[in-house]
Amino acid sequence: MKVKRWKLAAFLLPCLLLFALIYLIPLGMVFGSSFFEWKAGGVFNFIGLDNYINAFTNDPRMITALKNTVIWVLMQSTIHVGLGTIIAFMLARKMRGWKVLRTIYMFPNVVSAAALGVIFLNVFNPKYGLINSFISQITGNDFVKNWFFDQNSAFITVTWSWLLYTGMIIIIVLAALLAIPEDVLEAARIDGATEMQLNLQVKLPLIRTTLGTCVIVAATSMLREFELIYLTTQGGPGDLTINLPLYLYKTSMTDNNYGYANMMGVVLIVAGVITVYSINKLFRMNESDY
Amino acid sequence: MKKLFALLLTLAMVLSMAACGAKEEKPAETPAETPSEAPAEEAIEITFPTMWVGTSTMTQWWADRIAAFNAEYAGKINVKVEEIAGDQNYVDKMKVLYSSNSLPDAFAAGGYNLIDSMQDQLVDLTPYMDDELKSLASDLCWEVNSRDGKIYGVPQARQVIGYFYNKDLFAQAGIEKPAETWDEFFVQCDKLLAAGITPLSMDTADSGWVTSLMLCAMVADSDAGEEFMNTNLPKDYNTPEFIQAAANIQKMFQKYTTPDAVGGAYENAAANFFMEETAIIANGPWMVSDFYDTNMVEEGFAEKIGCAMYPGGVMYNSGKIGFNVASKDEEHIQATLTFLKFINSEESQRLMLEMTGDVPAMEGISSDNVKPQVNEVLALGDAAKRSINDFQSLWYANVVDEISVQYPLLAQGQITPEQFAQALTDAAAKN
Repeated sequence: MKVKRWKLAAFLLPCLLLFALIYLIPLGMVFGSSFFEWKAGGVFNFIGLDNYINAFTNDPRMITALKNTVIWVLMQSTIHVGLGTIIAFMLARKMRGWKVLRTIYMFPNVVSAAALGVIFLNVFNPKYGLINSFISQITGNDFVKNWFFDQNSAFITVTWSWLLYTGMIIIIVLAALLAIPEDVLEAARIDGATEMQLNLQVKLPLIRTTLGTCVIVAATSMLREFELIYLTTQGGPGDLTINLPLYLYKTSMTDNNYGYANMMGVVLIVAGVITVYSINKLFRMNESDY
Repeated sequence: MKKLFALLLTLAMVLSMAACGAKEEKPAETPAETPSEAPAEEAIEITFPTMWVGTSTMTQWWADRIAAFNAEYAGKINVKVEEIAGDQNYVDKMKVLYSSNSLPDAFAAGGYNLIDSMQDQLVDLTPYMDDELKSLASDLCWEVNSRDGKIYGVPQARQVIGYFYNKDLFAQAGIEKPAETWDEFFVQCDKLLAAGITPLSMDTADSGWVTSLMLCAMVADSDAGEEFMNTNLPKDYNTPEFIQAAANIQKMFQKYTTPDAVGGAYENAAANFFMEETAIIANGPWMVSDFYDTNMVEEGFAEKIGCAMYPGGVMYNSGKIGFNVASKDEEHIQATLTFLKFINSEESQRLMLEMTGDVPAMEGISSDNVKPQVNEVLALGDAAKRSINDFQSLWYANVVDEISVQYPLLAQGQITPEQFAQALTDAAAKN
């Protein structure tokens, strides 16, 4: 059936208007104002690329935030997705209780970030936290470590609060694994493929685009991560666990330096576009194998 | 049939959207319909966001006062209250509203100084000063809320802060009375440690209120330091007094406090004091009501608590930033001032003293229902050799925030006291 153009336009228009109003115009404002010195009290002067130049040449906190963001994006794209994929492959064998395990793995994904933050603060509390108490029990000595604020443990402790909780990745990969046509697997088995070969050389390549989706989800989640850091370390000790969204928030809310904060917003958007484009290319997302 | 169904469906959608988007209009009242009635005067609505919610010591007082105001001014002034829990959240929200030029009619940031950063959108209250308004606070309090001879805030309370100590724990350590010098103070900390008692409650989060009170009291232990602690918006923290005080704070973090101090907030520090795990906490008299709250402390806890002046005779003893007004027109300014006069009336301030222990801005308010520690703190304030203002009222907001970033580094020896002072100086330079 051929749909008339005006009808198409009429139905698309509300959506396009909303998109322009909620995303496009604010995006343009963010981009435009990143070239201004815009501070509280009505300061609004065009300064060209000064915000960008200052950020990359004269702002150690910006460099730390950018570095941490990149590290977390890489860790989430590799370790997080890798772990989730391995667990999904194990669950796909449908051993006894696999559905229960799948549900358990999803628990952290259904708890709000605020609640998770409080849980982690308590688990890692230096006085009464679960981890310190457990170590004290095992060693028989009083063990005290301020996990979130010790220079040596803060980064990894914050990372812990999202890196290992792979419920979403498991669900996506598992769905893809269970959707692989049985005749493909049967053919491989007839050709003498072992279980390991079946997993690595047949199933894994077949779910390539799904893995790409997982990597995009994981990587972009780290470009947006804010709540858990804010609720636990607030970027500390010092700037050890600060990332771009948190620095953006502080620059805007505490320093009231909106132009500089919007510069960070632009950097984040550009980083997001590059990340998604690279992953699309790497996983050949627009090509299907079956 | 299909076309008809689609048409009906589209029509229904359009109508429902129109209904959702339609502005709610009141039915027009024509004089013909109500010939004998005078047109009803509409109540003026003013907006006021409050942080006095949940576990705030002011919650009960605020609930009482707003109920009383609503009863007295029903149909005339309607206060639209927005609840925002937490000082920092409140301040952040005000900053967002300021940046979009939409500050509420009145706001009170719990002593945080928003006057200097938002002055251009605040109402200069000087022309509105009448005898009634002036009598609500002492000259000292009005002074703190003024800039260049113009008044930008209606004071609510005085800031009188020393520290509280646990007399039982002091006795266990063989300490007879609070220290008069900082050297003696640290000797007492060592005695407490030797007796197996953690001397100090400290914190680093949310500007490290408890810790920073100690820091600034140490800074003020000299003429130059006292002057620094009465200077509005200082830019340079690289002073010998400040660096020495930062060095002492570093020592306190490393030796005399609990493991959860670094990263902990006021609530953690207070909990340690309430559970008698620490012997000393710096804070104001509004904390006294908690000493009697058996949901928080054990029965009889209050009797163990004494009040002390900081070594060197230093007390926080100043006015406090009060209510700021940002109404956009004369009608709302007048309504807001009526509200503030009620909320800061003699009765309201007396109730505040009784219910929260906060010290009224008005001189001469007293009550028989005040907890003894509150009176002790007030007496100490009157006897202080050096009176200072607090850092949240004086320093740039981003410097106050930077403290929380730098304290953990200072505590763990990652930076020196000199670097700590420089970091705050750098933050101040951004303004």
